[in-house]
Amino acid sequence: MAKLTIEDLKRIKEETAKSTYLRDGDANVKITVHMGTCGIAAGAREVMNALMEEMAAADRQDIRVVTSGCMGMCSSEPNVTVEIQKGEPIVYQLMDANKMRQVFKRHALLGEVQTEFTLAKM
Amino acid sequence: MTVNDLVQRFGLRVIAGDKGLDRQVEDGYCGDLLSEIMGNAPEGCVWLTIQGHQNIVAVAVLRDLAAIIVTGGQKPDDETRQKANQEGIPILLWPDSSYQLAGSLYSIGIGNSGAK
Amino acid sequence: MRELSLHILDIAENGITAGADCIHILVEEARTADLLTIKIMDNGHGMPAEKIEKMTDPFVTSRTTRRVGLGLSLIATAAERCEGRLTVETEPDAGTKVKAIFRYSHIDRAPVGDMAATITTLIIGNPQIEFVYSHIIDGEEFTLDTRELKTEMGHLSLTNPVVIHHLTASIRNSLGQLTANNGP
Repeated sequence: MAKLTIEDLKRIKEETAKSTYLRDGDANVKITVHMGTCGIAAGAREVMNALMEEMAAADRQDIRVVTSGCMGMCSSEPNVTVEIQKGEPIVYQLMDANKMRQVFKRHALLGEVQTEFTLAKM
Repeated sequence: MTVNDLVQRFGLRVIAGDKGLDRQVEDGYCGDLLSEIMGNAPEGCVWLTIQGHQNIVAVAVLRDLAAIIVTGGQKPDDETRQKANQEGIPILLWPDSSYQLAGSLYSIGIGNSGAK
Repeated sequence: MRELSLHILDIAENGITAGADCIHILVEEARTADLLTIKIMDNGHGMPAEKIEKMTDPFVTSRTTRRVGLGLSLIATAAERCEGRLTVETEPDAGTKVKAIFRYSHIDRAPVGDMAATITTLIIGNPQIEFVYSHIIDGEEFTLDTRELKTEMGHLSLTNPVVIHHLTASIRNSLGQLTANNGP
């Protein structure tokens, strides 16, 4: 039975050694990718992939990514919610990989809400 | 009208099977359930689908289709492209919905013998 | 769904909503027997047996039962389309087991797809939940157990994006090996 090899695990640890990411650090920014059935059907997993790539590149300690179930807004999926320092959550709709990268770089990192992609205020 | 005529007219991106671009287009069809395509797609049609795995080439060969247009911004995988190249079945890409392209194809006379 | 791995992601999310802290996922591709089996087992709060019938009814809402979502009816239809079926075993406080079988070679059988992305998506979103993923192709098995992985990784969190990046690549690699070793 195969598992990840020792080499795989070693490499993962080596590559991650320089990362400053903390497990339980206080999150200034919380990003929720909604993973209900409609979200998954509309491409939420690919949105998550793109987000994680951006997260790896940014290597910030204070951004947390979570998933949640359906929020009941199925026709605008994939939906992503960005919350900065427990402020007002901004819900982005009809997301895809490219929009996610933009929202991450401009909103999560720089605090600029990308209104072209947002839902009306929650 | 040939497959290549449609490529030129609608700016379709050719990603495989270019040796089949001179095939005649006799009709058009839309559908994503492979068994249904196998049962009903007309010979010589351009088939619009969001499916991208290699079974689409098998179906196209079986039913002697003119070309496959993968819609919705979907991208067929490498095996699909290889098979399509082997079989000479053009695979074209369309970034928007099947519905939109189908409407345009129909309006220029594909599968619509009234309107040429 | 375009890929079976997306159905798996969806059903696993059901288990998480049901309060599970451990989810087992099995994908078994048995080409000689022409059978593909998917099993997702959670230790969440389960459901009363009389709800099973309604589980794949997309019009049953959370007003009459726990929210099970459209996910089960979608995978049920996908399986039935491929001469297979969905079975669900569940009991209150005893978790839920979902099993979907497909005729492997059926023309309408969606590809298994990117399981690495599905598993790592589950891990990222649910750091407190343990996942055990087994993928068997013609008898050869690959397994990933987040409990073991966490022990190996030590202080490194599995939700660390750099870990996830490399983990995803490693899983894809291992699955690729499995497929290559058991080629058609």
